[in-house]
Amino acid sequence: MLNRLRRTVAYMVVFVVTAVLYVLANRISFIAPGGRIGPDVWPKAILALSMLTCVFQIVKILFFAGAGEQVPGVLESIIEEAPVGEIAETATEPRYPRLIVGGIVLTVAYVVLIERLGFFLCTFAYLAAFAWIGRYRRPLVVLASSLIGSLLFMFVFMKVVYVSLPLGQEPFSQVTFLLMRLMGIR
Amino acid sequence: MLDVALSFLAAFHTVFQPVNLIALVVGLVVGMIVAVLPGLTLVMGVVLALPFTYGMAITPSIILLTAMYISGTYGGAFTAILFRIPGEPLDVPLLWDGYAMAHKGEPAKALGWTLFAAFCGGILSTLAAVAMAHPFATFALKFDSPEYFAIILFGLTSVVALSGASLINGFISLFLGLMIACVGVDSIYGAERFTFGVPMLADGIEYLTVMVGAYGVGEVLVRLEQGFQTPPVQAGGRVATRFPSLREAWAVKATLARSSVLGIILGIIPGAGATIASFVSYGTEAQYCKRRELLGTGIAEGIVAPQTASTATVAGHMVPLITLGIPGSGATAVILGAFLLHGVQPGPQVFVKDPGLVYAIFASLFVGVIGMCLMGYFAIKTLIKVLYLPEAVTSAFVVMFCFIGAFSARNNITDLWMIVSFGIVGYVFERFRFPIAPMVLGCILGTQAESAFMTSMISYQNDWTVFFTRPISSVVMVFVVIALVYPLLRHLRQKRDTHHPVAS
Repeated sequence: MLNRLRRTVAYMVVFVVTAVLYVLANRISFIAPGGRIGPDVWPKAILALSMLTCVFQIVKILFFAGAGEQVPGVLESIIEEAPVGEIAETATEPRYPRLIVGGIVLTVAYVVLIERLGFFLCTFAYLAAFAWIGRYRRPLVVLASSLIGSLLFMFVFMKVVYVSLPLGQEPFSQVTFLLMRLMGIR
Repeated sequence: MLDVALSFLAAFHTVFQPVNLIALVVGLVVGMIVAVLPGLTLVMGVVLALPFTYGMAITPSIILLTAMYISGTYGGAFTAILFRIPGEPLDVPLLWDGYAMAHKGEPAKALGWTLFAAFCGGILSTLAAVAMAHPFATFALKFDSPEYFAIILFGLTSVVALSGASLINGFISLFLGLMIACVGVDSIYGAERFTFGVPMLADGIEYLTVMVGAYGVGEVLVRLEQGFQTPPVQAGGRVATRFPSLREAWAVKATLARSSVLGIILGIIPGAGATIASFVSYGTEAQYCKRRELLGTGIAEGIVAPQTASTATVAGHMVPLITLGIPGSGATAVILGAFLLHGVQPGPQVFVKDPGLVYAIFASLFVGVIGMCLMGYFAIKTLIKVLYLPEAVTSAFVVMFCFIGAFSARNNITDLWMIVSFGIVGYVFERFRFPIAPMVLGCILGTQAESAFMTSMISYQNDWTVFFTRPISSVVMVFVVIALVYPLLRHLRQKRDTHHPVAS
């Protein structure tokens, strides 16, 4: 039973979120001419369908035999029926939870820091750190690719495509200004 | 028909204009590189290229993206055949006969068959698409809002029905996408929905950030969790392509015909993309091919069928996209996004307002197929060197392209947060086997679906039966029901076959 409950968690979360949104949809304010349906009908219909789907799946998992079984999309069943079962060999991939946590933290940190450090410094640090987290262990290649990559990004997008990338705050912005002068970016 | 042929021929002049030709060549090269690199998917590549089209005119933008799309269906064949690494899921069937042929000491022949199949599938499907598009569009001009709603509904349900490991998860993904499209000020009443007092949300959530986040950052995170474990590439010998002789080519004519037709039909059906076409055509050969007992041992039919069908889907996909504005796959959803970003709504009116653009796209597909094959023949040795790039490094650059794409769009840090958020959503979806495509398509088509639904309700006094009583919309609604029921029936049949193998 515990295993079955565990399998319902994702659907329960979706159900709760959609229920909250449904309550919020009741508070959408609008003035509709007599008899016309309002702008709340469409989202409420989607939310109701979403909740129904979740309830169906939760009930199926908890109370029916063969609950783990899912009706697959056609592609999945075609692959299952394929004449040669080569895919099964590649299907089981190892998982490294620490890497994913590191990758998400690093990516969030990039967004938090980019306006403070500026595009160049932040991108250089991100490229190097991501490659390292991704278990690539050749420091010279990592440093060189990160340096060249961030300089190239800066040159192409600031000088050629005119995208306004973050300059950073003092004292980090001095690095950006120096590079901009060297690259002839105004 | 003569008008169509003349317009198509005239469009080659547009394609050969320098800007468009450069876009075509760049698209072909980038598409092939993306397909060769195991960490990058075809859709991800097209998504990453989208922000670069902001500053371009619409014709080169669409040519660039479609060129990437078509060469992406071919590039992965090299790594599948030479190194047993399928660049894309659609290349998996090529492992069975393509790699087997290479393993028997005939890699050049296997590559030759792939090139031959991609060329034939691409050219035949483009010609078929050109012939079909105008009648499709003329017919679509009769559509009113109930028909449009029914067609969008069919597009969305078939995407759910055809892809993913679970129908239920597919629907949840679709509903999430439709809800994302609801965020912001509604277009009929001007009412704010789900903005939570955040001014930026009043403009709605850009579907670009959803696509870039879910397909770009999300897939990188999935690969990161797997430790970027690309199978090691063995230093190969000489990489060359040897064409089949005319007699050998003539011998596979039935396979070629079957796979081309399958590819075109499966391309037109929303949701049934190149991967399904590739598997289905291989399965069809397993039933109808004269040498079916030899499939899997390295015979030409096992290479020609999946490659022809997967390349043929590209032109097939363009028909509903251009004539109805319905994208049938992740890549065509991005191309639809490019149309919308340039202020053009694909649909039957495009044929009236800008037929030059429509035929230029088809002509670019035609030239693109030829260019792709030339590139495959002459530049393959150089292209497959990208396999030696470390995946951790290229993935970091992919994330960076995603972020810069967001900056190019609105120059707003909030978009970066959106991309990261949808990247995490994309990762969670992959992890728990929720398909991403329904969410993305729901997000793109949600506004149109709601608009068609509301207009129908207003025009027909809230009579929801209108979708079932008008002739065209009722037929489409029947297809919606078939799309929903078919996976269920298929699943039940599979279960029955598993339990009673002898009887089956």
